[in-house]
Amino acid sequence: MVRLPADRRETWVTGIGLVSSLGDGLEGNWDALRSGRVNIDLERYAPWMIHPLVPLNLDSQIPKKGDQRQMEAWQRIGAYAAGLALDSAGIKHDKEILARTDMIVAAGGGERDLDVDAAILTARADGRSGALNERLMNGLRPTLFLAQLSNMLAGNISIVHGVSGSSRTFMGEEAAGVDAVRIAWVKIASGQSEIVLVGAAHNGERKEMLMLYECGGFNLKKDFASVWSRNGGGFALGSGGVFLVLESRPHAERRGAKPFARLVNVVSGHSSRTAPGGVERALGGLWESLGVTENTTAIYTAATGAAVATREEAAFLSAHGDIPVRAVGTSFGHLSEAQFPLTLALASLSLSSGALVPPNDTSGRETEIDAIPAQIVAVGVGHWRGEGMALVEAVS
Amino acid sequence: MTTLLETGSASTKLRNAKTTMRDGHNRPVVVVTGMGVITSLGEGKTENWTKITAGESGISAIRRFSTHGLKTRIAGTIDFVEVKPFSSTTLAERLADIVIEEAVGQSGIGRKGDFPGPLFLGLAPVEVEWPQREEIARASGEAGSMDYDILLRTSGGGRFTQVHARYLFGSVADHLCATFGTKGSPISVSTACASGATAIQLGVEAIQRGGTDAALCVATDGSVNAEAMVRFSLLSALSTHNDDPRSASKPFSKNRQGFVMAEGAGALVLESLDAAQSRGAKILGVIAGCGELADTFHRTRPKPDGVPIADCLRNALADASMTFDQIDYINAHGTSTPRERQDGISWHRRCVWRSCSQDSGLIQQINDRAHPLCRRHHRSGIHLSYT
Repeated sequence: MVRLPADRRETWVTGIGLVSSLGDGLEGNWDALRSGRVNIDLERYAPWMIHPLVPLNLDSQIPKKGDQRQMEAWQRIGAYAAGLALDSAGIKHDKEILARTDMIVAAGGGERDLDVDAAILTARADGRSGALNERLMNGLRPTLFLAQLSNMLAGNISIVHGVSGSSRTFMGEEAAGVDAVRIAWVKIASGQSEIVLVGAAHNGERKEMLMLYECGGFNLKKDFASVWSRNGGGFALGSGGVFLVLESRPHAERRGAKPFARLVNVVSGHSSRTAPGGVERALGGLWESLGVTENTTAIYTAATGAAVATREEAAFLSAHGDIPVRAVGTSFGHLSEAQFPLTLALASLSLSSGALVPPNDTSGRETEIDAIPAQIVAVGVGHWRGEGMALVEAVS
Repeated sequence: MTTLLETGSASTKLRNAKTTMRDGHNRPVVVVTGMGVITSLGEGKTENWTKITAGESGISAIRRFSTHGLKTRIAGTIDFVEVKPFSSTTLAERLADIVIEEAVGQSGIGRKGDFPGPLFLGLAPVEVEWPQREEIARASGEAGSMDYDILLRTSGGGRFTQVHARYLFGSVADHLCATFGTKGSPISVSTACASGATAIQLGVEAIQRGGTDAALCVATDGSVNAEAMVRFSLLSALSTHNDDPRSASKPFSKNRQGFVMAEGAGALVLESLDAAQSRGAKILGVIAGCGELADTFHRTRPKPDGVPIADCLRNALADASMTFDQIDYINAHGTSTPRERQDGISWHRRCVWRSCSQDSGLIQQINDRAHPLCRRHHRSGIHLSYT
């Protein structure tokens, strides 16, 4: 029913911007991964845990203090990472290209004012029913709304960096990250776009988000473990921003841009978490349609550690047991919308660096391999819905 | 911002020519074969058309919640669709159900629960709402001051699994995908007033690149609640003409003062002309082209010279292989905010101008019309109609 473009144009990853709990920029993150370091804060929200963002020199990507003040943390992280991606692609100051660069952002919502919420709940518990309107009117910072709106991450990127070809914001947790990449890729592959900035940002250091996931029983508690050893214990939220510049090969070659990797295909699916085996079947179908070859060196997955999703994904992976697996969530935590772009970014970076990310796992699922990667499959399985895969390969 | 160019009553032109199966860019021609609508004026195309052409207004005093202490006490709420306990997300979902039924029914496409293409949904941001937050607070049993540590400790243990399921951003699209059997991963877009236009544009592009023969493009908004009203009030975006709700929304008037929040939903069944004709479907209109662009000037203000708006229109015309001379009618964004501008297109005065927000208020996700927030960036929403 949904077909691929008949003759696809070649799509390259020509820019990557990455900030996380492990580092600011590609080098810092890569070094941390190579050393197996994990940055997890077990104290701040105990018994819950989070992967906190490293300090950023915001001025380097968001020069105006006024712009920084207009954003909350998730937007600052995203605008910063987007700037890194544009730098990485070499188009940061190319106004002509920026003016026709398309943009797709996968976004959640912004931070609430927790003190105002708490004051309202306290007052209303006392029976002061009118408290909601007045407290909100008097308590909320007038411009807070701009820092909460989902589409204002893209808005800030347009304003700060001048990306203005188009602006689309997708919502829907992990699946939004998959589909943002998929639509960006298919637009280029089918000739509807030449260059797209695509990515997401996530602030995991938020009690209201912990509360949402706690309602569903998805938060990892007490003891940290690798994604494969959590026995359905869930995820530790992480902070970070990931943006990719995707570009048609002719467009990249004309301006002499060097690719990290070739993005061969992106597919997504939508299975039920309530029908047993749904995730496993969906992943099997996506794998078939992806176009995997015997050159596939590794599978990088955005696995969350959620009970059903990760158990069924593990069953699917066992059927491809000869291919080394890496779960990025162990090192970075769970970045929701940004988790699949993160996984794809690390796969692209591994291809351009000629080395896989080392294993970070005590369960035995992730095994060491000494090979120069040729092709990597990025897998995304949402904690509650949505599956996706991307195939990236080295450009020789 | 997004511009859609539509050619209505096009069937006479299209009927006789095989060559019109593809457009000026050699893409499949995209047509509309089904439409559904619900607004504060009523449910369905017939009721809305009857009332809007009779000059009726759907704007009235808010009865859903106490407006005590609010500067704006009017809106275009949909109170004839009941949701208990009230949740903006659940109302948006119900409204979408209703308009998709109407659109798919008119189109006659697929089978019940089996729509042969993807879903693109324009939706307001989703988050846990006050009734749910208060329910968790009450469940804590704490009598003194409340904070998020208490909420966090109370929310686990499986008592509030429905809160998690409901307030994920993907929940509405998930429900619609399951109910109507759309194919592939459903995409939710949230680009404020441009959401609806972006959803349509995603569907148009999918058909144009040959990825599908049909797409279901929907936008829905049920967000008249106290906190949303306060947020817009604090940005001075809302009209405070509380005493005369019917004339509060007045796009392009000199004394316009702000927009009027309203609820509603709209759905379009899009198909390739080829597929629609093959199954003998009635063609309601052609989407000839789309244009988009982001204004980088300011978060809440459009570029004063209006050039980005004009460029967005030019993009749409180029995409449609048309010129301004061929345009007869402009369905403008017309938010009624003081900063609303028509400079970018005012040089084309031959066109008939109309803004529906005068009658049904500003339904952000579906009207593609801008309030000041969208102007910074996606002042989408000049919907050009060509007949």
